[in-house]
Amino acid sequence: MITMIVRRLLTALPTIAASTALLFFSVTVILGSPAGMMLGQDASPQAIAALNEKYGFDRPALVQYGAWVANAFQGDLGRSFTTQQSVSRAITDCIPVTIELTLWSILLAASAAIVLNTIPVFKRTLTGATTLANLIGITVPNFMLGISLIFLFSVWLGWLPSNGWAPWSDGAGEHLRRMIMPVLTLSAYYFGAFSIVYRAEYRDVAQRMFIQVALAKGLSEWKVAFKHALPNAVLPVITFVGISMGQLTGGAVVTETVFSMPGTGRLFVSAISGHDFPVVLAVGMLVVTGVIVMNLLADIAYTIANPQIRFD
Amino acid sequence: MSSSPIAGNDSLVAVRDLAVRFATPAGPVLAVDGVSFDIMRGETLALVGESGSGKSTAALALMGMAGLSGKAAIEGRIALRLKKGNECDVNRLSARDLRQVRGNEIAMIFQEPMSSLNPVYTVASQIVEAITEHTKTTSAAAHARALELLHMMGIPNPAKCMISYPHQLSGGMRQRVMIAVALSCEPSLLVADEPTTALDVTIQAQIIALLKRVQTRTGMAILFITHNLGLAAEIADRAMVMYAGRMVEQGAVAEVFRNPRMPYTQVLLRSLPRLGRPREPGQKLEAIPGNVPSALKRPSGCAFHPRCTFMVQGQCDEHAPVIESCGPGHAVACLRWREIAAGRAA
Ligand SMILES: Nc1ncnc2c1ncn2[C@@H]1O[C@H](COP(=O)(O)OP(=O)(O)OP(=O)(O)O)[C@@H](O)[C@H]1O
Ligand code: SF4
Ligand SMILES: [Mg+2]
Repeated sequence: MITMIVRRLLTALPTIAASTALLFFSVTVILGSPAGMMLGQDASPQAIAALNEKYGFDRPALVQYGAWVANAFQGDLGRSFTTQQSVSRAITDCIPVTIELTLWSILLAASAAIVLNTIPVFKRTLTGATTLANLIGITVPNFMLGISLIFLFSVWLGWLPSNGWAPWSDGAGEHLRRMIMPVLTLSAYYFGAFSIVYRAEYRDVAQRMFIQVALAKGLSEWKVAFKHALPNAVLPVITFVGISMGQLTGGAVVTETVFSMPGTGRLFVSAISGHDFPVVLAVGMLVVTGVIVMNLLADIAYTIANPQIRFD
Repeated sequence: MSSSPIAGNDSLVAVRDLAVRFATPAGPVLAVDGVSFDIMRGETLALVGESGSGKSTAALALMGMAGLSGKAAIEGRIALRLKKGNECDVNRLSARDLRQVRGNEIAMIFQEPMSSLNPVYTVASQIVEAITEHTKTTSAAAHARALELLHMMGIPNPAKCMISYPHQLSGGMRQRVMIAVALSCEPSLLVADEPTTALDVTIQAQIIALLKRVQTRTGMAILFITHNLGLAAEIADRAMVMYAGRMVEQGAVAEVFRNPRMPYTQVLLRSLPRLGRPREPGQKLEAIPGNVPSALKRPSGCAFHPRCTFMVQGQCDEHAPVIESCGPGHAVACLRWREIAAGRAA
């Protein structure tokens, strides 16, 4: 298993390097001349030249890339073109928000999907309810769900504050109360998706002989479901959780926007619309690294959960 | 209880008019149709029949598990003598009491040793789990017992086997582990559903020998399910033959083998090679003509009539034979068994 982790880490490094390069050059191509973008169409050639000089845009792309990588290794991701703020600073401000939102949401979605699809006794009544919830989670767009929640819990019932997000520094209670609706909103889709994957696998596992053997030992249906079926059916969910968390390092744009959360998703969107090259690049890198790291973690978790792989 | 089918004799299980009907999208399937039989203490009863004849379903019904794989209506009476001495009807037990029967009074081993063990748990935890479910012991005592069981199963390195995962063991080893799991609570009946079919011949013989040895030691009864009559002869005291959900013949193994009365049993006997008795050169196996009837469309009258060489139109396809005595402890369900036995039938 250790060798597997080391091997995966070693392959992850070139992947990250290759994706940075790809990202760097494609962003350069897509966004075009940064100086022209920043100064607008009517800018004089002199002004553009001055800007090119200042940021080094006139250097060959490869040289620019080399400089970017060298700086990135020192934790310097450049300055935002629009706010002149340090990019690494902007990112480290956003990441905790996004990570927290992601963790709560995926945790809620995965545990609800697993538990609700494992409980044996009420199964017949529960299956219908869970299917409906899956359907809602997958089909209802996040902004609609978010707004409906605000309407229900803030406007109508008045249980939760509607005025956006509060940092931890406002107190844990304030912070967590404002976390509820975003988490519900974001987890809905993942609940549906995990549920479908888990349920399909669970049905397969339930047909396997060792389930009948476990029942023949005299174990209760609950014990058979949770102790014998669940660990065998959970593997694809682990992989899926890894993929989802990786993707979410780029932020949950819609949820963050609806609930005014300062996460990476919003940072990314405003950077793209403002042609803020260093920020776009930095968030892109974050997503690439996030995806790779989360997939690796998922593989490790998968291996731990599956003795068949663990001992080969 | 005066109406008890068990009272006053030596039987451990007394099944009366057992019927199991599955509701399937294609219609009801009568997997077991009015079967009655007894299993005596300490005996080995072989349950023989082709695929789909309802052997597994009947056996699962003994543990109240026939309905678990689908929607099933189960009728009849399954009287079981419990270890404590009292008697119960498995068909009328609460879910909670059924769990006390499963694993504790009746244990079962299955055909597929490859998939019978849970891949995510060690051998030790799967045996210990069976022990602690029914007995109040410490984990250390349960582990000691598990080790002892593996030793008894003739596993070369029991300590190593304990900490192994199923995929690290061979098929024969897994079946030994399964038997250890089944024996862990000293059941009075072991149901072995084709326990050697998936194993190669050498291992098969070893497992059979092991079952016999364990039986001598513990005195438990065995219901041995197989479609191999030869194997039944090796291991069983009595045999019963099922066809299309019905019992068609039963009796002492020697008697059924020497004087098979039901044409189906006769063909079965001629069609199967016997364990440890290779076919003589040139001797051909007789294939049974026709197909196993579909469980959805059971033939009228005697279900075997489309394949029976003794079939008489207007008789066999109209009247269902009932099981009747045809010798001491020997019973058959065939309208023409007397004529056939006397050699008068063609
Ligand atoms: N859960 C179920 N739902 C519907 N039909 C079933 C179910 N289980 C068994 N049957 C049907 O009942 C009949 C008897 O099946 P059973 O498994 O008892 O046969 P068997 O004699 O054990 O066969 P085999 O030798 O293949 O194991 C078959 O026709 C089968 O299709
Ligand atoms: S009843 Fe008729 S068809 Fe059935 S086994 Fe006897 S002779 Fe054959
Ligand atoms: Mg079977």
